[in-house]
Amino acid sequence: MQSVTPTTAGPYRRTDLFWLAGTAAGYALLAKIVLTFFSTNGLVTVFWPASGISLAALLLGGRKFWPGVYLGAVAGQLWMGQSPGNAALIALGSTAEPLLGVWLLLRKGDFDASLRSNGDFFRLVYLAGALSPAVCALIGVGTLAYSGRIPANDLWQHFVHWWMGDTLGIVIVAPLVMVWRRPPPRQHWHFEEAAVFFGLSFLVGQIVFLDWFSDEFGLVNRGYWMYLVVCWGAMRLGLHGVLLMLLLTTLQALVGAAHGVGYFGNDLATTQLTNFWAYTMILAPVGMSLAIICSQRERIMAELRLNEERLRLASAAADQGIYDRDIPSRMLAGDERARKIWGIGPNEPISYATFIAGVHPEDRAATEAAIDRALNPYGTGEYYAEHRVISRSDGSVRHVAAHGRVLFEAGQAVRLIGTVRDVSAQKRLEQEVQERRVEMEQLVNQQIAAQTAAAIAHELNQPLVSVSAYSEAALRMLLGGTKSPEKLAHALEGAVEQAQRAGRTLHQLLDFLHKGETTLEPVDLNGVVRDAITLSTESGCGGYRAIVELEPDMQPVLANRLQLKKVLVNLLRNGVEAMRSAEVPAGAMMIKVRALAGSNMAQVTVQDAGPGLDAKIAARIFEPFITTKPEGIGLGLAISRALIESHGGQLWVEPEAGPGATFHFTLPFAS
Amino acid sequence: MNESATVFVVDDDPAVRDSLTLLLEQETFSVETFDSGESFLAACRPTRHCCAIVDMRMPGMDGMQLQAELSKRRIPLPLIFLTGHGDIPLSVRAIKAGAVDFLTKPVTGAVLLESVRMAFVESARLSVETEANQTATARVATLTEREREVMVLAARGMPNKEIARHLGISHRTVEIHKARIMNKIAAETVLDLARIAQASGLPF
Repeated sequence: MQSVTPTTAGPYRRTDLFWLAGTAAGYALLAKIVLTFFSTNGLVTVFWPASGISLAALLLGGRKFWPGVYLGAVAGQLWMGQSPGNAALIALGSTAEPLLGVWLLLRKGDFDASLRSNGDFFRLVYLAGALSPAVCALIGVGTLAYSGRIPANDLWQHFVHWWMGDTLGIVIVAPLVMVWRRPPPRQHWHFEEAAVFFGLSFLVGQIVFLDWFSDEFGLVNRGYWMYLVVCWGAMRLGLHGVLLMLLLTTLQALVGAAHGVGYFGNDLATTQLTNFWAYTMILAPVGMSLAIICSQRERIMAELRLNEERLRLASAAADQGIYDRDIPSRMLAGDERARKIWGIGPNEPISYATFIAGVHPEDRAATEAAIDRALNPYGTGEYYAEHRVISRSDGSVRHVAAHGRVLFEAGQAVRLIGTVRDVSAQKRLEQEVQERRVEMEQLVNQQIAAQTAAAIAHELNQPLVSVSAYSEAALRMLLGGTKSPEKLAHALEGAVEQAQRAGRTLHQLLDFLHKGETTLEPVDLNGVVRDAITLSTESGCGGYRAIVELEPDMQPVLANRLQLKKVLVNLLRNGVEAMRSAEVPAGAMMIKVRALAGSNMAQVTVQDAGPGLDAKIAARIFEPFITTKPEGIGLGLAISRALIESHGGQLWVEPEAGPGATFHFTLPFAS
Repeated sequence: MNESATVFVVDDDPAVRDSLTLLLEQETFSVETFDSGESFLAACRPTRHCCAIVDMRMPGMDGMQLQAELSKRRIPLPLIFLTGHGDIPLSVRAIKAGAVDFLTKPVTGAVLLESVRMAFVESARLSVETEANQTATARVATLTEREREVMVLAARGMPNKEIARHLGISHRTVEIHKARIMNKIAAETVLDLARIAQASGLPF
């Protein structure tokens, strides 16, 4: 639906001449008809449709049509036998009236000539309908009085009647023209219904105003019957129907009043049609505002339906469910998709308890915390949580991501509205990528280990070749009864020298491997433990439940942060892998930090929930190349022990402390 | 053992060279040492009884490259490789290319000396073969260009008619060439001819 923006002004075009002439002719004709048939004195009437026509013409066509109005008014007055001077003066008032009306209406720039809202309609009534006719009436009645056409003692009464006529004309005729410029909306107008409606309206009008079936109805008061008809028209046929019906009713009432029959049969004589005027001035706004409200409602409903459809399409495209939680009643509403994601049947009521029961127990605390944060009136009201849900219908586990926004009223959270999306596939993919990465890393680590081992083997083999050859040569000399003790000495010296070389090579190698990791500093042990847990989760060794017991107000320990983290990550990784290989899903890992009383040492304990170590393996677990893992190279614990010992601490295993394996290590405090 | 038997030791590690020399000298071999493949190639004059113990991993030319270079220069020398770690694919390649043995460090004297002895047996075989080859090469060198072409085709087992067609000459001319060839290279049968062609290194 588009609104109609009234034209304000503009240069004249050739076609405007036709409309100017039309406006003039229409105005003159209406003036003549009305003054002939509906006026007591041929000068003033309570219904002046010409004022409605002129206002509509200037509103829709533009102020430039004022000459048409002026000419029509002059012609009409001359036709009714006014002197040219009077006609010219009265026509001035008739032209000033719509010009003033248009100016008042368009002053604020938001007036819609299709009368889409009651605001538009009532502004038309009190600005153009009530205010501007006063000017016209003043000029008209003044002119007539001045020229002696009406007696001076009737001035007030004439003024009021003039004003009433123009007002009624504007209220009924101007909207009629403005609305009927466009055909009635096809979808609401059924020809049969319109025909029945207008037929009935005519019939009731005849009964009420022209005394049809007066014998049958006798003394029954019939005036209010029209309200039923106008309500029907407003609700079923909109402004188009109501305006047509109002015109019909007004004419019927006027004809009745003129003939002295019907509801207003005595009105002309008793009140000069003031009753008629009041009746119509009430009936018209009732019908019109009802019609405007009805069509507005329909328009809003259509927009709502459209928006709902858009929302449905958008949520379907994003594969998102929509939910709406009423906080005071603790009930949730979810659309079909949300219910499917939660695994809740289509007609099952969802209480907050039902919803929380469906959240995976391990994610429940975090989810509730996120909701509480969102409900906090001092927060942002934004809700975001990723959690798992266990379907009520089939028990399957899904990963979901939920977004939401809390609505507050008077500082109280009242609603939480949001979307929920099934991200299981995405999660699976992420996990796969993570696993691949870990596999890759392991492969690279093995490769590095293999290459390092090859380098070590070469460096050690060289002197070993010589030691072996020197020794054998010496042996052969001895067995063969050598005649050259210098040669024997040379061989043995060579063997010794080469054995020493092997030892030197080994030390150089170890120095090289530990290069840059030997500085010790005061380190916050609790912080390193937290870092290591994060690091192990990020490097694909998550999936365990960390039970962390830290010692508050711990003094710093003397350590190399990097090496300490390496040892912790290695212990955590061992625990996770032990639990994984024993298929303990999401097992608990206990990490405890405490200060040892009376020894100036801190102790860290890492305990997994895996199968534990048997005594035979536990006895050799710190030897190099001893491993229980299929992909391991068996250096992790050996290196870890060497690192801890280089800090002045100890690393040991406590095999019987079960459920799983328990490792402890100690570190000296910095002070 | 033959007094003139020489063992060449090619290793970048001076201690290895020194200790192996000492060990091998106990078995009365004469030993010459080289610190790289390049210096060995530059100085080596293989005699009737010799072999080389070569470290597989050396800076510059490594053991496999040295083997390839010797083969390219047609120097018949039995090689014993020493390697740090039993690398099976590498050892297979080396043995296929004619190495006598592939020993893992540190090697025992018994194993090393056994390999050296085997290498000398191989060396003797190689030198006989080389003599035959040299004779064959000398004889083939007396042939004209056309005769050499005919010989290559005949050694492939091609009948005279086809040789004629292949070279675009008459059947009779081929017969004359062939008779001359048999005479020059002192071959009695086509089988002899083929053997001499192989020994002389003709591309057939």
